[in-house]
Amino acid sequence: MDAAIKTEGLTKRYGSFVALAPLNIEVQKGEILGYLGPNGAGKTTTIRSILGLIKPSAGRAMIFGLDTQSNKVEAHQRLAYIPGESTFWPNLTGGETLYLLGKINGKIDKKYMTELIKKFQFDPTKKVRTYSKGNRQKINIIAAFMTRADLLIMDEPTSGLDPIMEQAFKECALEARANGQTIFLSSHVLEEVEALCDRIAILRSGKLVELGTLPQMRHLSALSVEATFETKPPRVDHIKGVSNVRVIGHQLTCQIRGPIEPLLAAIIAGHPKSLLSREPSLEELFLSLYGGEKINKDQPQ
Amino acid sequence: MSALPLNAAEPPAKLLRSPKTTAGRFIAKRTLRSSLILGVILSLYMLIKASSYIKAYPSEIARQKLAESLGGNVGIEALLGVAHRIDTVSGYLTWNFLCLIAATGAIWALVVATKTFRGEEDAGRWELFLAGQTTPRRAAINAFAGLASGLLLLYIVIALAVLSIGRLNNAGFSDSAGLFFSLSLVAGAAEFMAVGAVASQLMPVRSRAAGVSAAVFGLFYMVRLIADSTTAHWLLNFSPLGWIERLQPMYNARPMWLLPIGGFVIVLIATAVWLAGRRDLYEGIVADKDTATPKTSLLHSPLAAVLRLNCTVIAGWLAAVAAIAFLYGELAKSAAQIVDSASVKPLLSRLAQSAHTQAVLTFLGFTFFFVTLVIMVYVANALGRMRSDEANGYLDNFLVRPLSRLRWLSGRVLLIVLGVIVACLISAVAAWAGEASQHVGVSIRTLLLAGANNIAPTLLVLGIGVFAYGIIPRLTSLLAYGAIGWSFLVTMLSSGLNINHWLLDTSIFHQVALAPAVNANWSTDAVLLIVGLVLGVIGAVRFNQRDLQGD
Ligand SMILES: Nc1ncnc2c1ncn2[C@@H]1O[C@H](COP(=O)(O)OP(=O)(O)O)[C@@H](O)[C@H]1O
Ligand SMILES: [Mg+2]
Repeated sequence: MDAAIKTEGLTKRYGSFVALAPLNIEVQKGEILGYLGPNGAGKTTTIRSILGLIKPSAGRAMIFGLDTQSNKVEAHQRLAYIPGESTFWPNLTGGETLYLLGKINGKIDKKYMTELIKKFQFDPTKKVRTYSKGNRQKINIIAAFMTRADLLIMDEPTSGLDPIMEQAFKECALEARANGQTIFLSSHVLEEVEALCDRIAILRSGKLVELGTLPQMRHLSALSVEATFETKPPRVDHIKGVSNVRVIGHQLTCQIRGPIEPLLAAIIAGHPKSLLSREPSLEELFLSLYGGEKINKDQPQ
Repeated sequence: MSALPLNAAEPPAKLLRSPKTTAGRFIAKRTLRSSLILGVILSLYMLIKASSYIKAYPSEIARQKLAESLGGNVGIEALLGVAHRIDTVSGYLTWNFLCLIAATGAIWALVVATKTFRGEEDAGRWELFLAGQTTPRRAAINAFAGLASGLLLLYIVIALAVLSIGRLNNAGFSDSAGLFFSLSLVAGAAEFMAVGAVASQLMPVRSRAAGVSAAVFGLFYMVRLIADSTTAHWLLNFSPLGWIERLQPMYNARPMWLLPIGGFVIVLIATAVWLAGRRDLYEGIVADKDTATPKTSLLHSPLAAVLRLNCTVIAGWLAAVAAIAFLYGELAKSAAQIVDSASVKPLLSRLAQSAHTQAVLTFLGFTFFFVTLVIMVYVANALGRMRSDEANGYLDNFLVRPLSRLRWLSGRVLLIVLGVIVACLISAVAAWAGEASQHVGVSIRTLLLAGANNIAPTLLVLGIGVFAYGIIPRLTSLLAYGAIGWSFLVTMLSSGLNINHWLLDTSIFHQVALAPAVNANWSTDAVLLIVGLVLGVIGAVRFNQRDLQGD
């Protein structure tokens, strides 16, 4: 059985700059794959290459076994795409725009479209130029889901949406998976990916650095350990694999990567009052991967 | 739980430099490019025209004779303005360039201003400018500063050309007169930049803002035309284009007419800035229904949608072609008397080649030459719109769906081809209506053939444009307009000077028989069509393989 998406050495260079290093990835039918990476990592480049909007410098991409360069139209019949932002004709209404997009797609589920319009509280009678960014994004979302395509490719689909609409979007995505549709979800919002995805791929500077389920990825990150003592906490920073040690009063927090026994022994020797250890969240996972890099806190949300 | 943004990249340093002037710098960059191109084309035209005049009429007597033969001819004056003292270089320059360049500049300015003030907003970029900690009014002032830099560049380029004309043999005007003349040449651009800016605040989408400002231009142009071709000269006082004529920059300069011009510009700019602060983004002052009952006619296919989204533009062009052809047709009789007089022949030598044909046919040949020029500009404009649909992301909406690139492109090109054929035939019918109203008596068949004769060269421009679109998309407009401008220049050049025939052959117009003055040469037309087709096919094949590209 053909994978929903399969890339073979898919590469995109701009001059000598490698926007996407040879990428080999398979998205299985019916799964939601999260495609994570910081801005500029090459997520949009990957998706535009898969869609054939840009020509890969090398390699190829297949949608249900159809090469997206040589069989573009057939491949596109099986998929729908939600871009992060797009330009629509300012003087058409939202409804007219959806009508036109639906006509190009050929087959749409009209009843579902009406449901989606209601669900996203979208007013289709207004002209596109009067819509906010979020409302314009709703056109993209509705237009994609209403096709009931076998594969949904999404590039930061919730940009501009408020939290309630984000929730509606998640529901639609899960519903789509329940219907057997496949989703390729590119995002830099961890929470969204954590909530939706079966598997996660992490892209950094054009290279795929990780691919796996969330539980499979946790090993990458340190375990967080928190202990409180009667007296001054023992010293643990000399122990192999320990990092980010912080002492506040009688409380010690640190992270451990690798074997945990030496750390536990040291803590027990210090007579702990309480001990807490937890799995890293996806955020912490990311921090440990991108630890050295600056994180821009100016982003909205 | 809050989402953690992971963009490791820093905000681009360029934006940090000064967010308050982002809009101005962005717009200046765009405007400077087009004003430089326009300035260079106009300058070359002036230089060639002036030097050929000096060469063809070296003596006082020859110039005197020219003046006598042209003086007081209504047909020519309607087109170029009243001819004062054309026995002098300065008089000749004024007559040939003042109205023509003021009008050309005005049209350029309309396009640029509506693009800046409405097009950027339609494309969602204005929102970004405003995000840079600035108010709508400040952004508008910024944009004006950007536009002003373009205007200044246009002035500098034109002034350089005028000053060099002044240095030619016995041109006989001073540098200060030349500078003042250059100022009046760009005055039209300044006026209609302001008109375009106000229209952009009033109207909610660019096409309508452009339509309104073009209508205002048309109205003022007609007022000037009537004033110059009838006894109602006082009407000049009521048209901003007339005020420019009133400046009389090269003889008895009357700089006080700069006051109404300056006042007009300042008042309109102030109005535009004021209006910018009084409306919401994506709204116009003129209330337009924000909601509409859905009309799905012409939305069932991408091609039909293009027709629906561009129908006003297409109709506007066809109307303009018809109006111009009709006007020229009407003028045929009176203008023919001049073309016929021997003294003008050196100036219109290509026309004179067909001296055996009737003078009227010669003038009509000249007419179709200009009409073709207009239709070619329409083609370049349509190519530009096709390219900007890609650059602004509209094309993505189609191509991410099951629609092949070749089908999309061939649909667009087919529409332009149909537009060209219709325009060429309309121009024939309109020219016929014009000349028939004067009982000139040229048959409609002759004119239809002349119109059809223009289809092939125009489609060659289309082929060049599609070639560019496939290979260097960012230069589509530039190359299409460039091919037209180059051909025009070379042809104009050939009317005054002896130039190398290889050079002459690079002009598309040079390949085309000047029908109906001479018989159309269908085999040449076939060659032009084939060259256009080959270029177009190469372009289409390349387009099918290349990346979609922003600006
Ligand atoms: N047309 C282009 N020319 C040159 N570089 C590009 C072009 N498009 C994207 N890039 C570069 O490729 C990298 C990946 O971009 P992109 O795929 O948009 O990242 P993401 O979507 O992950 O934020 C970026 O560094 C970007 O600057
Ligand atoms: Mg992106």
